[in-house]
Amino acid sequence: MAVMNAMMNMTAFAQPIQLDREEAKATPLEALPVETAHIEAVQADDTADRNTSYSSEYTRPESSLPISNTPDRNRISRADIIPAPSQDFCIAVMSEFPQDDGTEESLIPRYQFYTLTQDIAVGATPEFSQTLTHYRHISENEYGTIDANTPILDIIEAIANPVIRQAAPELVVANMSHLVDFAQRCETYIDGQIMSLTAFNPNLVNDDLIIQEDALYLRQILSDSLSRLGADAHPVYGPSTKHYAASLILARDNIEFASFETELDDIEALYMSDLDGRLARSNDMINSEVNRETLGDAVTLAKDMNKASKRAQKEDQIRTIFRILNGF
Amino acid sequence: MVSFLHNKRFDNRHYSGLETGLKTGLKTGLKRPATLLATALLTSSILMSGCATTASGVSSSAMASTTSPQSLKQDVPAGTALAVVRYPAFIEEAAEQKYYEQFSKNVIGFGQANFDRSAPDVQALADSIIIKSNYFALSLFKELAERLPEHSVLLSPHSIKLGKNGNLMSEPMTQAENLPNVLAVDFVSYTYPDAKKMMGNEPLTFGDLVTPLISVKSDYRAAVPTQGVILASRPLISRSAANGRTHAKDTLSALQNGRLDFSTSDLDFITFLNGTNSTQVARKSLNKTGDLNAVRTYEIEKIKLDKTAMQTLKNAGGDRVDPLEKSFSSGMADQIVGILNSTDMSKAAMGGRANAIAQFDESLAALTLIGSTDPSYLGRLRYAERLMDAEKNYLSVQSLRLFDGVHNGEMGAQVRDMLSAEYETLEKRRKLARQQNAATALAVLGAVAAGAAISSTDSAQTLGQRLALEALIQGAIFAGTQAYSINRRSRAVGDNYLASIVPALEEQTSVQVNLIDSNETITAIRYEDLQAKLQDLYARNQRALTTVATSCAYTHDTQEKTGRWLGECQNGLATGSGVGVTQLPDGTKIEYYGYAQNGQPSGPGYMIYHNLKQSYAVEGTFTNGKANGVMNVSQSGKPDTLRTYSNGVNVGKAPSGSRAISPFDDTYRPAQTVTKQTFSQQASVPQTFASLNQ
Repeated sequence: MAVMNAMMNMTAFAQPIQLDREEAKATPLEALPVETAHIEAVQADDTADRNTSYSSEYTRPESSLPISNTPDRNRISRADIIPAPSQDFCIAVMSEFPQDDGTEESLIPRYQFYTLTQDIAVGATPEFSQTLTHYRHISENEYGTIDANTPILDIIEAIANPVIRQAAPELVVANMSHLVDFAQRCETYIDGQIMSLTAFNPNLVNDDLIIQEDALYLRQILSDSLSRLGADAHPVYGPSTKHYAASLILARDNIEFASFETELDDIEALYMSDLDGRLARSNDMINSEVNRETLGDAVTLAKDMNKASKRAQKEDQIRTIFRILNGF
Repeated sequence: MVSFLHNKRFDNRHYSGLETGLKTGLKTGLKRPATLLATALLTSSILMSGCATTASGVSSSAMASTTSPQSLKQDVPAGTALAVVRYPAFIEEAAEQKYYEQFSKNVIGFGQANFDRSAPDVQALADSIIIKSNYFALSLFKELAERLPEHSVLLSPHSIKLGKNGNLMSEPMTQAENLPNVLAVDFVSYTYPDAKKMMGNEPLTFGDLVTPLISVKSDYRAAVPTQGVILASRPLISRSAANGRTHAKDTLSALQNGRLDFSTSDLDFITFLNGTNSTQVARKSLNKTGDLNAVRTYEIEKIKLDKTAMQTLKNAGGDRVDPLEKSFSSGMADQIVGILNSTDMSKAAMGGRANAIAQFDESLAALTLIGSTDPSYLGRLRYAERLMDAEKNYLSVQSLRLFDGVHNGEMGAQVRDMLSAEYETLEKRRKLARQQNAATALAVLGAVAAGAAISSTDSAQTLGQRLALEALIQGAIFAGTQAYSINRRSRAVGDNYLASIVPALEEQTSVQVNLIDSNETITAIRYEDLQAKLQDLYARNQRALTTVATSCAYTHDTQEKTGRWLGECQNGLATGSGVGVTQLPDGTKIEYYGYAQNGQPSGPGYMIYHNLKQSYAVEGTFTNGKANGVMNVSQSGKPDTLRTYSNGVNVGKAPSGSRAISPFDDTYRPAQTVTKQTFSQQASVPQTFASLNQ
């Protein structure tokens, strides 16, 4: 929630975009034949899902597994992404992103936006990209082409819209394909932006887990939409669709575990520091009550007794000499 | 002369006999035969018993010379401590008299075991064992902590109690042993119970001398033929093995009752003092680190601590001085790292891990004994392991604070003061011993000279000759009596110290107990709270398991399913991975870790036999409950060997290059059914988008 709220605020600053549902409906989708009851059911499901809470304020534990370390992410973001061939295209789209107004606060939504865009493309192998292209064409035949200059936030909002998800899965696929395409084509620029933002404020990565969850949510919508379109049973596109769905389970597991670890790390740190403090205080208290003189007294006593022994020995020696010299 | 008399008993009565004999000789007018007899008696008596040893020790332990520094080469199993250092920290009042009695009865050393347990010096020595063990065990802990990963070494102080059967027993004072561990290291600094022998060769921990008693053990499942004992001081080997066997018995009994039970064993030193339990296992020398299944034997040695360290102990910054480090602890820690590198950690920790996991997830616990590649299992295990890690890390804080409290606090300062005072006492006695030896030498020389003079003179002695001879004899007598007197004073110095130190020992024991008790009380209260929080967190993140562990029927190789299985079951019979226990008609108890079908061992497995005489293990493939194929056989006194089995019968050597299949090896795991987790089971909607849709 924090991430998207911040995004929304910053987007509003950068370019006034209405994000309420009325505005969202004012997309080409408003003419779609959707049954109201069905929509309500979907919304109810979403509300139930929302009850699963995630901490909005956390710090990433060092031991947590960043999703960027998963094979999927590495494969896509480093090896398979084609360097941006069109500088103009990338710059034009990115100009719609939240802007840096010189304040530190403005960096947060900017970072979140870039990272979310990057994370959305995770798991999109070349084979899967072909699948997306295939279903995107189907969508374009029915709903028209998505304008290249459509603001990214509008695209994201359309994907997350439950009405569209239910009524026009092709459009969801097309929108996601548009996002993935942008992320892949402009990967170099996105990466550069993220690096410069984190160099300026390393704490920005603290929100990565939430951003990953958001990206995963969108990827999950894509997977479900493809499934609804029958892609997982398609002889050509089925394998890549299934593989993508499987990778989402792994990603979900990793995110949930990272969230578990974050919570556990917090508890662990709290209890360990509490225990350490208590034990240190207790040790100090006990130490302050120790009577160090007992040992000193014992040693003094032993020394006195030794002196007495020494005297006794000398007397003994004198007696012995006396006896010897006096002929026993 | 010192070396000649090294092992001789010192007895003051010789001196009085000597003096009497000489007087008799003189009074009889120096009759030649009688005088010669007296001279001979004088010489032999002095030679036999007149010289004093100076309480020497080796400057470097055999522990250091039989190993070299090395780093840990194995990955640490999650949630598992690598080493737990156990030591006696306190004696309950009810157990004190029994402890003194057993301490004076069961001794390590050359002397006879018959000392007065009520004598203050015996009791002071007995008490000092506890105090010194408390202090010197920390040296080993420090060295291990420096070599091993953070939070992987724990301290486990034990309290000595009187058991229901009237024998001594020991119980851990902290929770450290409730966590899985790879090695348990028992440490005691021992002292022979006779203060009179302090300057002799008996084991001693006093001043700059330390006699460590140690045992290094893994769980018996990692070293079956030696009951888990890997390295131990000679007197402790059979006792330590007995404790390992008792642990195995307890484990089998719990498994038979369908439980993964956890029990901690007495300190091996306490078992030694009781003198009741003993199990014989094969032994080998300390420098033999090969494959032979035998316990490496550490002979008793009296270690002389670094002189410079001893001299600076009492000074400011004495807490930064560890006099035991160079001579023993460092080498011992290297030995332990070496042992860790050669120990099968998964076998050593599997029992402890399963027990620890059973505390919060019984469905998972028995499955962890063998492991699985099933994604649902791996998913759940990851959470359980992280939880155990948190508990281990938490308890390690307690160990570090115990170290801090004891070593860096007043308790440590007092022990250092005490060691310095003892060192001073010992040095004084060493000085006296040297004086005594000089006097003895004079007496011998005088006696020899007198003897020579007597033998060279005839009966017609001149007055001058007679006077000179008398002077010689009188000089010899004086030197002899002086040696005797110095010896008495030397003993008095020791006795004086031991007699006066008793209140200080009591004070130190009381500080130690307060410290551990307070640490434990605080930790236990908070630990319970932490456990509840972690378990709640674990429950909230609980993952579905495709297969859960339960209890069902199991048999070894007969039709009657009288045994018990913990693990995967089908139709009430062992099917899948887990652990099974059963007993043969001849009383041999068998435990089996591996795969089963229809209630019988089937597939890769690790079978441990415990008969009346020994324990041994076979690992490989089983068919219908019987070993079949290449098996790795572990027996006492022999290296592990590969044998070929057919239908449970050993038919000869295994073909060269063959390999026994281990149930713990991922390579050989049977294929698992992978349950697809659908997104509807897993999904949760991030709040970001939830808010977007509102």
